[in-house]
Amino acid sequence: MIAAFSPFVALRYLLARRISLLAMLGVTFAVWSMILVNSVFTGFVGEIRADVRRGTAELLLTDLPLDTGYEPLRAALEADPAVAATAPRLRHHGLLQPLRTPTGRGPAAAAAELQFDHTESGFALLLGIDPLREGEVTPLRQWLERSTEVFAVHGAALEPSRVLDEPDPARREQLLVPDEVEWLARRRAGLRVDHARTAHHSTWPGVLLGWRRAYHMGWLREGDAFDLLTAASVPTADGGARMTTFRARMAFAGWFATGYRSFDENTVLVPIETLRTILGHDRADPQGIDLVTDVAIRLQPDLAPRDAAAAVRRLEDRAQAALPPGSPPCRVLDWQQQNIVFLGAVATEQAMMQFVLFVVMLVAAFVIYAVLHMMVVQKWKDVGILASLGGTPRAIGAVFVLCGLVTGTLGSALGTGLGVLSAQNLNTVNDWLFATCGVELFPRSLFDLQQVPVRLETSWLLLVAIAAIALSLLVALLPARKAARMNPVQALAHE
Amino acid sequence: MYRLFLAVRYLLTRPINLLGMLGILLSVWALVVVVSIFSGFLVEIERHVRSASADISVGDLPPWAEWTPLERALRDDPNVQGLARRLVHYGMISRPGERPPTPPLLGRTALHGGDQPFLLLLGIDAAAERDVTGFAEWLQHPAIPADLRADPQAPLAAPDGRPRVLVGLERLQRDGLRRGDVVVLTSGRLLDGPEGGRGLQQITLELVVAGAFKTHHGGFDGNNVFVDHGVLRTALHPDRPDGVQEIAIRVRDLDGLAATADRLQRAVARVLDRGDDRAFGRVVTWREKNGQFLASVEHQRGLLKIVLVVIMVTAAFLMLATLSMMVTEKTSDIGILTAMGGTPGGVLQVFLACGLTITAAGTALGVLTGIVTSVYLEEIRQAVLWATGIDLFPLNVYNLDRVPCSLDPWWLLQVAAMAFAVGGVVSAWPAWRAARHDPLVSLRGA
Amino acid sequence: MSTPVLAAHAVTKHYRLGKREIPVLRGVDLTLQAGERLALLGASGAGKSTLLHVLGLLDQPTSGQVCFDGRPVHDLPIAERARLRHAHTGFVFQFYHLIPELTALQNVLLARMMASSMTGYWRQRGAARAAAKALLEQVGLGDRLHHRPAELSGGERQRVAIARALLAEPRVILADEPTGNLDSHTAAGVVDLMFSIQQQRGIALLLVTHNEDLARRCDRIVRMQDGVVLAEPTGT
Repeated sequence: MIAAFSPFVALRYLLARRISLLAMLGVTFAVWSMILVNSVFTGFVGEIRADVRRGTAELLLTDLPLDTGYEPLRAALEADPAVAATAPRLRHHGLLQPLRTPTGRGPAAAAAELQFDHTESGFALLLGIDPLREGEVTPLRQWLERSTEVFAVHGAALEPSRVLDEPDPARREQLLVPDEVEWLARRRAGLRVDHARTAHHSTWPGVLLGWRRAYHMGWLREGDAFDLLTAASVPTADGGARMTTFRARMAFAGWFATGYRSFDENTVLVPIETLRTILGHDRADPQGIDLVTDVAIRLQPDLAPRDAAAAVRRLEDRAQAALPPGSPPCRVLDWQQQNIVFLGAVATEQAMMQFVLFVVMLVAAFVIYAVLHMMVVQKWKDVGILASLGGTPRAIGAVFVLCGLVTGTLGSALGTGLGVLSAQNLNTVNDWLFATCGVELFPRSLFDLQQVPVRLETSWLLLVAIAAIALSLLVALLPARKAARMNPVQALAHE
Repeated sequence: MYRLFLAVRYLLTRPINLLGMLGILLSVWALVVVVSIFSGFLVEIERHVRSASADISVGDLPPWAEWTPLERALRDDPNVQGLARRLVHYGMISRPGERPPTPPLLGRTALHGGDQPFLLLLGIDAAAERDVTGFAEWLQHPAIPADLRADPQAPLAAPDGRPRVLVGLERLQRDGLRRGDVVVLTSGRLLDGPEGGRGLQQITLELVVAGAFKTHHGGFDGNNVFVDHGVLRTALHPDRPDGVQEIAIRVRDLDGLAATADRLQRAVARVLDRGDDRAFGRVVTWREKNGQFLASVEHQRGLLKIVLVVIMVTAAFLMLATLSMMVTEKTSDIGILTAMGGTPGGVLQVFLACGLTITAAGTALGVLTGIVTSVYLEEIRQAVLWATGIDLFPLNVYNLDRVPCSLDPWWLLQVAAMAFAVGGVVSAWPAWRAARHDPLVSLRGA
Repeated sequence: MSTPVLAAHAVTKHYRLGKREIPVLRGVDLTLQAGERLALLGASGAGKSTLLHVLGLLDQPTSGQVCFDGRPVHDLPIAERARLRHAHTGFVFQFYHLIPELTALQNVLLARMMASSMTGYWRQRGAARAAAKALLEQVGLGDRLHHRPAELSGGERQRVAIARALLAEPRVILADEPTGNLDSHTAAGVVDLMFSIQQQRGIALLLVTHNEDLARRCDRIVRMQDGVVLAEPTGT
């Protein structure tokens, strides 16, 4: 039971002091800034996660043993009712060497400098895809179209690649550029061209490059020649293996942009058959298998999360059964598990940011504490008066707890309201400020986006609001306890 | 005199003022620590890129470039202390007869590489390299166990005629390699030939592991191996005994780096001038090499700065609260002071002195604790990790082996000045209010 | 003789001052009958106020008993003592002790809020306001209901304090030099008022004072010196 005088006196104390307004404003400010900054950060993280999601297959069967064929796995996986489609993937590594003019940039490595990422050096994580099937599991066409939008942001007009519109599936499978384009590219590179322009048939398989390579490779023209250099281990007659180097001439077929930064930087999409040929599994070779290192899987849409989780385990078992006995365990990874390091880093960053934000709230709680502490000191005598009138220590303590609670609640409510309002209108304000004063509150270049991404999460709003109130309550308890424990006789004598 | 005396007395008798100080302390501390981590990160990265690529490096050299005339021309420059030639090439390292595993999935590996099978071969002249980069330190990194240490004097010496290789510590341990193991280096070179040239000639070298090296940057360690320059040159460019691909340069005076680079660029152009109006060779400073990498750190810093300013503002609230309460509480004192002949200006100064003392103490303590925290950050991280299992700063993401930190005196000064300005502004208001206070009201009492 | 409404038996009270123990009350026996007007006389430091606080349950005796209606109450739990204090005793202090943020009416009303819950008070708030207004009118402040203490004179403030002490309808009023801070003219008015209400309502009054004239107007005088009661009882 709260005695009637506690809220009554608490309210009068608060109303009589301008300083309690300051405490409330402190809380308001803290809550407001926490909501605003975090909503921008959450929006940013959400944007990043959406990009990662776009650049990743829904599920990926991986950790397969060497020399695994696609067909048995495809049969096993597609037999599952939850699976909508699968596509083969073959990962390898290599070096992409542009071939523009015969006198170009010198020998293969001459241009190489010591770098910490792969982009500038020409290193590439080769991802062999089957262009006929890939679109079933990932938005491949969207990746190509999106590159046009991304370049538009950077002020370059580029048509999206046409390789997926090639009517002949045999040519599409090789990502071949149109005959005339390749003929021109050969001429540009100073290569001998046997046929007339119209009689030429494209033979160079296409490569699709992540748009971020454009920073270092410059503006390539469709059909520009590349040498793909790589090494792979090839079985020897005595049953061992020997590293062998390979070179394949390929044609630039277009840019792609998933938005997932490290994917766009490091990965190069090549036709899976080209890689298979390099790795000694030519389709023409009767001994060859349709080699894969992973299988990308798309589940049926509208599958409940629980069913999807069950499907992952089921698919793992199915795939394992399709592998030779004694194979190490394979795994089926969802899109988050496939990018666990990067997403983990992003999550940690967000957690750090939220931690720093809570320091803000802590300081705001200090304000309440200071104000209440001071109030108790000033109201020393009142405590004695209330005691002499028959107030119990609890009820006297409650006066100050209520002061803190009211301050915290009002501040928190006001801050939440302001936070939501300003988050929703952030882009308007940002644009307006930029237009009128030339100041950018949240620089767009920071985000590489047209708009500052903002995402309000109800759970965060609740967390901040409740934490602010709880913290106010907590810091109010200390002065309140002090008041409750006071000796009323001494309090009355206090001057 | 009474002003200072009173200000100090007021502060000492009222522990609540500590809270205002605590707020300033906390915000200054956060500003110092967070920024020192970030600039430490930048400095660390810069340091490694720098030590790996020397103060200045010359690249983009044409195939016919020759070392002797270039060396002579570069040494002529007064600011060049030492130079070393390097050969950079690509390759794979595997154990004889073994098939390398499938490369790891992009999203499951460290963000900046280091565990891909492809790597960079650096052909170096060990003796010259020591003078130009931090090579000697990399071989003696304390983390390298004794049985993986290479001979620091002649790490790549091959008394038995079998060439040696130095591998990054992590890669070495991951692959289970030991000193003396034989690895096969597979690489290739493009040859001029028919059909536009560029036939590929495979190059296979058997190398003996001479030991490990370790810089502070895991990405560098994982992506590079060191081989003797002569060995690599013979294998890759047998026809060019005096050929050169990259030159690493150490300068005497870092201040004139850009100017030196410009000068060297002209010197290189003169040597390589064949009268056909084409410029070869690109001279870059270490700073020019890391632009892109640093940009990725930038957006986090931008957001954190906003948050830090927010903390500062909240701390200002706190100070404003404590100081105005002090003024409210001391109204009778103000009355007495005025009655004793204190001017409004004097009263103002008393309270302003209070606020500034709090700010000064909070700032000083904040800077101090910030410095201490920054210096012992790695120990703190490990203590927190050990106690709670939370990794405050995931090093593997950035390929670092300890939390970086760098204290920039200029920044410390800026933070202190900013805190002081904030403190001054928020003390001014209550002090002004105190000065305007009508002494009669306070003497009459309530 | 009927059971005294308030009684102290062999009450001692020591204060600690650093390492020293300072005895303030050294065995006090005192009774207060219902409706009685008792004056407690003594020099400063004799222990009058301390005795008053002990009797009013604001303070606990070091040893001895405080009985209310013959029931020992000094060692009841703190909340229980607070409740008793509210229900049966009203305090009037030398320095009025009003809460500066509240108006005269609110200060008086406070006495009604101490023991009732929020909902309980809400239900009877009309009656409480009426009672408080009536009391303030009785003490002659009907036109100053909404003034804050700072806007009232000393005598007016003490009248508010008296009204506040009466609102909870106590059986005992403990007054600690209620006129000590007032000029003689105002003091006379306040005392007259207090006595008339006390008589009218049959409340026991313990009046701590060192004003002999004032003491003589009481039913009984008790003198204290150095923590003991000198003469008790004398009667008139």
